[in-house]
Amino acid sequence: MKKLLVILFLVFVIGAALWLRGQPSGPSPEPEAAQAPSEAPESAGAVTPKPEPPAGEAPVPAPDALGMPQTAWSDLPNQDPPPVDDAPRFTGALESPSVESLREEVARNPHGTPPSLLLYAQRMADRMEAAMQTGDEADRLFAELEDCVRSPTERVTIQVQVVCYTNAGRLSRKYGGRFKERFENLVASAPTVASMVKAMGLDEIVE
Amino acid sequence: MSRRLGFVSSCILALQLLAGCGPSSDTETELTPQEEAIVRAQGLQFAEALEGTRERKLVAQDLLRVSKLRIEADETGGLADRWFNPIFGGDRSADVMRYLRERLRVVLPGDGDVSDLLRVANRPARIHVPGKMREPALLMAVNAGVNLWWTAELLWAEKRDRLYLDLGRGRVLAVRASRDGIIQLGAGYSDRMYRMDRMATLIHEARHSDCVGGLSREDLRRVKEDQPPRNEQCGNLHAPCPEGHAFAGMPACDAIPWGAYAVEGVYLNRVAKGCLNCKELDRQAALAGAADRFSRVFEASALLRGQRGDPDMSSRGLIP
Repeated sequence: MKKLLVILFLVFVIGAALWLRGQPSGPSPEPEAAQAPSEAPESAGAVTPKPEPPAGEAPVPAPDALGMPQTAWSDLPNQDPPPVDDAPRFTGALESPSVESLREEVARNPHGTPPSLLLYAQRMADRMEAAMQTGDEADRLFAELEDCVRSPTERVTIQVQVVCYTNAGRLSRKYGGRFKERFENLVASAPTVASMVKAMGLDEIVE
Repeated sequence: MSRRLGFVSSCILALQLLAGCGPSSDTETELTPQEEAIVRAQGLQFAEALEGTRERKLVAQDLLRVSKLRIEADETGGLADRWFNPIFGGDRSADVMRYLRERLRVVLPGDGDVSDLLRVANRPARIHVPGKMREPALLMAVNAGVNLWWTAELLWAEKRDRLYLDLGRGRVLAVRASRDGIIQLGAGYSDRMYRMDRMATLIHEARHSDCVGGLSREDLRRVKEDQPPRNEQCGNLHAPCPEGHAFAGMPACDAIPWGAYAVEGVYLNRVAKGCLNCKELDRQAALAGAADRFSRVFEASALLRGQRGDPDMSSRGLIP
């Protein structure tokens, strides 16, 4: 009988603990910890598979009669990569999203950043973090960025080139003489992109 | 006796385990005290159908995130950056929150017809809303407020009736201005979207609440016939992107200077350039977003150089 009461007590305690875990947390002092930018356990390096549009369903919202804002959604990479510190970082060569894929995505979602451009940005973040730490990585990335900026706009859109150019500028400023001459050549060879980046003030980002 | 006690204890355990197994945990939908506070401070109202939903939680989280970004102007300035202050009325996130507070007040679900929420003289009313979205289920977000205000003005002009929006739980709002700030969320406003992009979407939709220059009687007549008003600044309408643009022919560009894409671009540009508490991923997403938004602005470089005038952030009603 005593034994049974002990078991019953233990069962109750375990059950109560489980039940309490399922309850909403009270006014905890830092309920936003997971959202706070400086504390977020985001792993910028998680590799998200490139989103594929669902076969057979790419509903394109009809342009509104009055041209009013409408933001359709499409397949997007997950907003927040899993919070795992050792998630694999993207280390491969950056592949610019094609004009066709961007057009297709914008047809489905006229407002938001096209998913393939966001995926590109995510991979760029991984590569830039590495490049900011080692010169070898910076060398590798800078060459890819040069290629991106010098590509014809039929192949690489201006949005992507602005991203590439801005990051090339950041590397140039970070490493001083290492890329100085090459970056100056890049400025001269891509006046439209350079002008856009200057207008946006992104040529002055200080690390 | 012992068997009975064993049975009872098993039942208690089973019930306790079941209590913890809901369809979704409360933390995914229930607002934290901070989120509640930001929603209250913004004076934001959600339609009853959004109560306890993930979408409501995301909007609250995104607003909180906007409020916490440290995006003070840096010394290097920059052309795009110089417009931040005139647009948002200041250089801090608090100023962005005020911009949102003035333009974003009501959030409706996207999986229903807005018309179902309309009331005239305290009765449900089937009213034609000019230019209303055709595919609400697909939308990520839409500013429905401007269209509803046009509808309200038409109703008043023709029948001297007022238009109301029933948010549920006894909350009925009179539709009186474009700045009523009514946005409709769609299935796309979800965890699948980058947070930075959702935040920028709120900035974008808020700009559609401005009817710069007001709505003329002639434009009201045009709206009734489902034509866009001649004053495209009333609602900051979009236009098809021009020939030669990557998105040529798609309604994905600003029709006018300092429209929703330009304003959104200025915000994202500031985040990309000078967010002091952002991770590299946030900054790269903001950079890609800013580059994308400015590419949808006609002659963006000229605009940013001030050759298209200053942004007019005012909003007027019907011109008498």
